[in-house]
Amino acid sequence: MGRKDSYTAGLSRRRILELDACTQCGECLKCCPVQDVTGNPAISPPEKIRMFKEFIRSTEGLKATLFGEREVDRKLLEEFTRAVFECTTCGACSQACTVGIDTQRLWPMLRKEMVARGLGPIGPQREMPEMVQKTGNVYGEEPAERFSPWFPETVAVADHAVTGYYAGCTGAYQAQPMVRGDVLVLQAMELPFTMLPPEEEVCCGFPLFVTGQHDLLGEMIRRLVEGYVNRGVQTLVCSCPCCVNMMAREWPLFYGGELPFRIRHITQIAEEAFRTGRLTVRRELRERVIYHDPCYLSRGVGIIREPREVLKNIPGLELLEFDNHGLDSRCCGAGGAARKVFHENAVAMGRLTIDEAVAKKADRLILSCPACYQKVNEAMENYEKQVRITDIMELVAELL
Amino acid sequence: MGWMLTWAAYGVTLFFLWRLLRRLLLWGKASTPQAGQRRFSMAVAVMAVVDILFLRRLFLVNKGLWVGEWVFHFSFVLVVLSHLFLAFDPVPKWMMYLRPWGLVAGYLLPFSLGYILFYRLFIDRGAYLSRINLFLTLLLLSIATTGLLMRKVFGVDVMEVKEFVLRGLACMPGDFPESRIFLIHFLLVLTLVPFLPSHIFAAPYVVYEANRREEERERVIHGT
Repeated sequence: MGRKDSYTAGLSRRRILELDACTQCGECLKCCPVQDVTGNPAISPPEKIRMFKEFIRSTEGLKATLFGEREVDRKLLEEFTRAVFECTTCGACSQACTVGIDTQRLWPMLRKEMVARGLGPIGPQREMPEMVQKTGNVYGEEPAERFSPWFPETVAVADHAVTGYYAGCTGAYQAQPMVRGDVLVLQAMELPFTMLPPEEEVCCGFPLFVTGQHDLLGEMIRRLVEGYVNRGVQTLVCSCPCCVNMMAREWPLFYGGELPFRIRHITQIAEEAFRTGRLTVRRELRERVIYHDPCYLSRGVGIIREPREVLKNIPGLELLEFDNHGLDSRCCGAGGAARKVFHENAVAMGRLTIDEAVAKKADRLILSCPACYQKVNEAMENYEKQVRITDIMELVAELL
Repeated sequence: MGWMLTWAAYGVTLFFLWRLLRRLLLWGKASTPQAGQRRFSMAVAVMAVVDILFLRRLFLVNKGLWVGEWVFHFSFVLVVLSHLFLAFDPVPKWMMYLRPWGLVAGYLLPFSLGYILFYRLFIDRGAYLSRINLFLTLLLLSIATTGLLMRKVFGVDVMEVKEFVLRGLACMPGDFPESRIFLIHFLLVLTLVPFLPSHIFAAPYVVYEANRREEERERVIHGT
């Protein structure tokens, strides 16, 4: 049976009000990518909110006050846990929400409540804190191997610089052409940058945050921030949209104040470099390319224009758009730390992305997220439809 | 019967206020820190008010539904405000000016609710239709319809109704007006009050927060 304690004690005022603000209108359901591939309304955004509110009513509602708290049936708690962890946290529901509920933050907090009750996270997600403590990343990969397989020998890293570069775990271990492209582009801009050593550049905390496992976050984030401060960093450039989100939106809370440096995505730096003439692409690319907006880049932090401006600087390139792009971008299936647990869902969503790229006769699918890069490539394995997949900075670096 | 119905109204009102107070306490006692604390912004507040007054977010995602919802919300507020004349003696001038608009809204209200129901059931077929929303829509439609029937078909002695309301407010329960249609209308309203959704009170804050979040995002990521 579930615990009889409060279901709101661990939530902030904002989250509790969001639960109460839901009008159950169901507009979010129409754009939920998990709904697209499962057709299961039981795991839809309004159902998740309705279920959680039932848990609150059972412990803090009228009946609880008059007749004593009722324990929530464990089966219901388990159903809810599965529903909330099956979400990719893409935020499409938040974008469609008629009252503006921030679901990209609400779902992780509800996951945290389930973790506190021993019901979550699910499967390999449970191993993440231990992996991060031992190896600094959720993949269990060797820290010493974080940079060496892909970092170009010709690129110099300064001990101190106003610009710092954070490669990120998924980029470094699972999407290496992407991060290699990043540092080559930074070098081409003649922008001195510094990095933490591989043993110190640990996980930004996003996988732990999004799976509701917050215990290690404070210490990890403080060490990372201090590491960059000691290197004189004033702008920290990231490759991964999830890292950008985590750093820009959550790090201040765990750090205990505003960060001493600003956070930027690599496409923002590249766009500025193109605009000011510090970067030029010499080679043409006569191809039709379609750009996929990562959920955490578009909806998460509003970076939509910059990647497109970068692509427009490539001579000969014809830029295509998905029907749902920008703030309405459809999830490719990789998010929310769900891709390893709900693998079939993730592959199905990735294949929908591939389907549309092929239908629009794109020669190339451009991505700017390492999780998307890893998952969409995996979705294409043994699939009848094929499209060439390239990371945006990988492409720019190839054409310099 | 007047005495019984007056006490029923007291009970329902007290229940509603108690429920609201519990909600406020629940919100107030939440102490878990939250990210992104910033000072109050007038520009953001103005945008939030515009968002709420025009249901802007619904307009962006579903224009067909927005038409019905906006007319419903707008006419509901007008109808409620125009009913206030029953509770005042003498009636303030601004209420008298509002009355004609309230009467027009009284016609719009059932049609907008009927439109919403039709739209959700037959046009927006893929939509999620929660049981509580369906119940509330039907209840409101019944209230609006009985109100219209009172006005146009069966008639009711408005002075008797006003007497009943004023005596109730003065804690001196009086006779209930002799009108079956008004009895049905009154009982439906008493049924509605306990089911008034919490989003009425929570949504304005959440809409404000959504606007603040968007402004904050621009500041943090784009430095504006």
